[in-house]
Amino acid sequence: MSAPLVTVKNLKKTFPVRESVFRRATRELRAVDDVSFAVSRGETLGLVGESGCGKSTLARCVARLTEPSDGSILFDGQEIARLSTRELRPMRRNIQLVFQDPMSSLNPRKRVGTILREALSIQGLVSGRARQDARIAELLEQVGLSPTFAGRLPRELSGGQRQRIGIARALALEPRLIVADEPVSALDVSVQAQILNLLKDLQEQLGLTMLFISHDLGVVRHVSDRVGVMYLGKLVELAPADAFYEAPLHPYSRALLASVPLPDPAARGRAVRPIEGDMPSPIYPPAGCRFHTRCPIAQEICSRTEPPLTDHGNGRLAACHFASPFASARETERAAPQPSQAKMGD
Amino acid sequence: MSAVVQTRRRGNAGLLRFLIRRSPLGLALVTLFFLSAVFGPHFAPHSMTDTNLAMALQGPSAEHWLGTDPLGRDVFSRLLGASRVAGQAFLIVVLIGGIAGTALGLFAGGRGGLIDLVVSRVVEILQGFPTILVAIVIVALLNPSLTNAMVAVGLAAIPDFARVSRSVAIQLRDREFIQAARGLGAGEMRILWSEVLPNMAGPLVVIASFDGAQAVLWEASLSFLGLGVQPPDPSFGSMLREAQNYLAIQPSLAIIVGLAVSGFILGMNLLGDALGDYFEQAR
Ligand SMILES: Nc1ncnc2c1ncn2[C@@H]1O[C@H](COP(=O)(O)OP(=O)(O)OP(=O)(O)O)[C@@H](O)[C@H]1O
Ligand SMILES: [Mg+2]
Repeated sequence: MSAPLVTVKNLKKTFPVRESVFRRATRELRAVDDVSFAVSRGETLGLVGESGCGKSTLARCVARLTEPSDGSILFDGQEIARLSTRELRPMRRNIQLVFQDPMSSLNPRKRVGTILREALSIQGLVSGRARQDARIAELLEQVGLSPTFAGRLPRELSGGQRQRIGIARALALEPRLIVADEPVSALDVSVQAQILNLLKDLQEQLGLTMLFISHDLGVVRHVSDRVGVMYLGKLVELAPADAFYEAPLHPYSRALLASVPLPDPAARGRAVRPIEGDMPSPIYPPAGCRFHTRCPIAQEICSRTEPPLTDHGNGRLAACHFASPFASARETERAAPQPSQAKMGD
Repeated sequence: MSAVVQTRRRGNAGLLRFLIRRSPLGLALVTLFFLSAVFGPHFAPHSMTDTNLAMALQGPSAEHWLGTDPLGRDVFSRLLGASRVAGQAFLIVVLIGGIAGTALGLFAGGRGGLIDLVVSRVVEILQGFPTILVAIVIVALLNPSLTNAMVAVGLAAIPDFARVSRSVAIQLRDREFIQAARGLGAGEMRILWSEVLPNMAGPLVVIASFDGAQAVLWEASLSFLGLGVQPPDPSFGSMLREAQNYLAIQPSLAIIVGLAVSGFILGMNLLGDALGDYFEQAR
C-alpha cells in the first residue's frame, strides 16, 4: 500500500476564552487536542462523537479553513498545517468540503449555475463560457440532477437537492480529498440514504478519499472503511469499520453503540446522547482519562494517568487502560433500562 | 443557458407585482415623482425663470394650470423643475451615503477585529455631526449650491448605510457558503464583493429609500434657508421661501409645494416599507 494521502500528527486547535468580561483571555478551550491519524488513498474514514467533541474543528483544520494551533498535516507528503493564505490557494483544489446545513451552504442570491461557474473560475480551472457550461451540466448530472437546475435559486430546491449542489461544487475542482462534515444530518431520513449512496458512488467512480464526519453511528457505518471516535477533543478509538461495529475496544464506543438501535431509522436522526452525565467542558477537561467521569469501568488509575492511543492489533487502536472487546458486567448492568434515571436526548 | 435569463426576468416581474399589490399608492407617487424629475423639465409648458410681473399671483387657469407666482412665473413648470432638483438631491445623497457607507460597513463587518473597531468609531463620530452645521460649513467654505448642500447630507447618510451593511456582513461572516468560497480559494476581497454584498441588496434598498426621502426634505430645508439652490432656479425650498410672504394673498403657492413634498415623502416611505416586506419574505 502506498503512503497515506493525509497524515495528521499531534494536531491541536485551541481557542482563547475569556472567563469574565473584565479579563483578557486567560484560558484555552482545547477543541482538538493532540489528534493523530492517517487516511489512505481511496479510503473513507468516518469520525463520530457527541456534539462539541471537536469534529467540525478537526474538519476545518484538515481543510485548512482555519489554522491549527500545533501539529502537522501532511497532504500527499506536503506539510499544509502552516501554509499562508496565499500558499494555500493552489492546494485548495485538492481538498474540498461538503457542509452540514444545505440552507446556509449555498449563497441564497446566486443561481446554481453561477455557484458552480464560480467554483470553476475562481482558480481559473475551466475558462470560457461554453466549456464552463458543459462542465456545469456534467457536474449536475454527476450528482443526479438535470442540467436545467442551473437556472434555479437555492430556495427553489429541496434540502436533498441543495446538498447535491453542495457536492457538485465540491467536485468542481476535481479534489482528491472530500471532507464531509455532517453532510446528511440536516436532511430527512428518507433523503439521507440517497445522499449517502451518492457520496459512496462518487467516491468509487472518482477514486476519492473521504473524511466523513457524523454524530450518527448508523450513517457512518454506511460509508466508512474505518471509524474514529472522538471524545472531548481526543481520538479515543480508531478501527476498521467491521471490527469496530462488531466489538469496539473503548467503553465510550460501546456506550455510543448501545445507545443507537441501528436498524431503527427513526432513532438514527437523533443526536447521540449515550450515557448519563453531560460531557465535561473542553475548557476544564478532567485530569487523566477524559472519559473517566462518565465511564462505567473507571478505576483509580483513570483519574490520574491519561491512556495513550495504543495498538491492539489488526489495525485497532484505543485509548483506554482497560481496552477490551468485551463489555464488563458493570457496563451491561448500566445498559439495562432505568426509568427513574432515563435522560431525554435532545 | 436560456433558463437562467428566463428565471431572472420572472424575479423582477415578481417584485413589481408585489409592490403593486402591497403599496399601489406608494408606487404611483414615487413613479410620478421620478417621471417628472427625469422628463418634467422637457415638457414644462412655460419657462421656469422668465418673469412677467403683469401675470403675477394668478389663480389656476387653462394657461397656467397651477397659477403663477409673485414674479408671474408658471408654478406648474417650476414644480417640474423643482422635482428634477429634488431627484438630483436624492441621487447625490444615495450615491455618497450608499457607496461610502456600504463600503465601510461591508469592510468593517466582513473583516472584523481592529478594522471593525476603527471603522465603527469613525462612523459614530460621523453620526454625531449635526447635518445642518456641516452643510453651513461646507457652503461657507465653497459656495451655496445644490451639490454642496447635498454633499453634507450625503455625509450624514453614511452611518445609516454603514450600520446596515455592517450588521448584514457580521451575520453572514460565518455562514457556510462563505467558508465554501474560502475553501475554493476565493480571496477575502472577492468574498466581500461577490458573496456578501449581493445579500445586502434588500436592506440597502430599504435604507436608500428612506435616506433618499430624507434627502429631498433636507434639500427643501437647506434651499429654504438659502444654503442650497439659488434663485431664480426653482426648488421646493426656494419656492416655499418665495411663497411665504404671500401666504395671506395666495396660500395655494405654499400649499402646492407642501403637498408635492409630502406626497413624495409619503410615497417613498410606503414604498420603503413594501420593499422591506418583499426582501423579508424573499429570504
Ligand atoms: N471559533 C470558535 N471559538 C471558540 N470556541 C469554538 C470555536 N469553534 C468551536 N469552538 C468550541 O470547540 C468545541 C468543539 O466544537 P466543534 O464545532 O468542533 O464540535 P463538533 O464536534 O463539530 O460539534 P457538533 O456536533 O455540535 O457540530 C466546542 O466546545 C465549541 O464550543
Ligand atoms: Mg460540527
